[in-house]
Amino acid sequence: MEKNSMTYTAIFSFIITFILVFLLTLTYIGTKDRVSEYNKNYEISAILKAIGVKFKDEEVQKQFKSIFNLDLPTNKTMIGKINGEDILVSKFSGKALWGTVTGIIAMDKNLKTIKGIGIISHNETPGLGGRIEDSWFLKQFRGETINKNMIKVVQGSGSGNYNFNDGIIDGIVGATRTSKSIEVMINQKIKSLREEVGNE
Amino acid sequence: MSKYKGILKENLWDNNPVFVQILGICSTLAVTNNLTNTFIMTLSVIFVAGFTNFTVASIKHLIPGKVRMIIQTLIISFFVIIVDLLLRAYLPDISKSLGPYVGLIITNCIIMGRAEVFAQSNNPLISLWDGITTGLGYMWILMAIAFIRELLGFGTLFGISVMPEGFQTWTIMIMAPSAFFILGIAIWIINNIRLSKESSK
Repeated sequence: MEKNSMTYTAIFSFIITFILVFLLTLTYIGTKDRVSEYNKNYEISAILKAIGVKFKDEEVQKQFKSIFNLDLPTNKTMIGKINGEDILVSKFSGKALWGTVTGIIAMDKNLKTIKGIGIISHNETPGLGGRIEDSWFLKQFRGETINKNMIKVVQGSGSGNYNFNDGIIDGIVGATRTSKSIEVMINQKIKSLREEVGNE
Repeated sequence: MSKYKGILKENLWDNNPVFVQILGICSTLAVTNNLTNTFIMTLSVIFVAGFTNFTVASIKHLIPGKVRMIIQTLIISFFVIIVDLLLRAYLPDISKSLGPYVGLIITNCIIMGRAEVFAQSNNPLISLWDGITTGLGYMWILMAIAFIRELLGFGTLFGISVMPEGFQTWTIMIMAPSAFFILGIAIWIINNIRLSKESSK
């Protein structure tokens, strides 16, 4: 067959596309279980990390169940018990610079203190906004008392604000928009949690 | 054998994709503020460049001229998605922190350039070698930039703290503009060396 003819081009394109897509599908099926298992554990680990529980990688699901009495995280507000203290855990999400950031926040049941936050997924620039996942940033939230039902993310020294009574968090240097978006997301979540709990 | 050596030298220095051909600059700016990410990213480029060249060279007689470039892009995308899937499954943390950049290897002109210029007119084995060495040429200059940026920007190397206590990190090094400066200075110095060598010949 003439190599530059229409028929040959169409057949060739079809066959090569078919072969490549077939191989891709095989790879996808081969790795699917691993990825979904990882994602499931990743979310649970993020929750456990946010509430400050130490955990072993093999036992995340068991430990999660013992605190929340749930098999898997849900999208509703979850109530758990650590050391006899009730905590509320809820997912938050919102738009940041490049895309949606999803995370979880843990608060005491009076909604006065943040017990911790964790980031589940984001599309921020690696090394800049992507540093919202770093522990120095997240640690600032652990035990932070909220001020007038709000937190504030400000431009600070870049090494973190560990005064837990002022409701102020140091933003990430070079990632002002991402830092601000986190502030907006968390304040919205605190507001909606207050409505949900009925502001007791 | 000397042919393989010549290609190695050509791709690592004389015709380096980054500082001589000035290709693949966007990824140079984006992923070089952290050595671990840079290493995985450049390793992926080596893999994709090598296998794309090999595949294109193997089936070059079958590819109709009219759709040549589309088929090359298809093959590149195939290998990039394979890399992306494997990273997701086996190195999920790195895959998360690289974000969209792995997928963007598809648009890296270095790979398309080698497939079109080299693999279309050479046998599969030497094309594989050309792809791998081009990737290495890309790797060493990116790793050198990442070394400077991570050291000064975070005070760490591969995430391990190496700078003395109290070292003031340079925020500019974390941000993309610093890659412009470092790459620009590197191109200037390296091309000066190359030119002075040539003129002394």
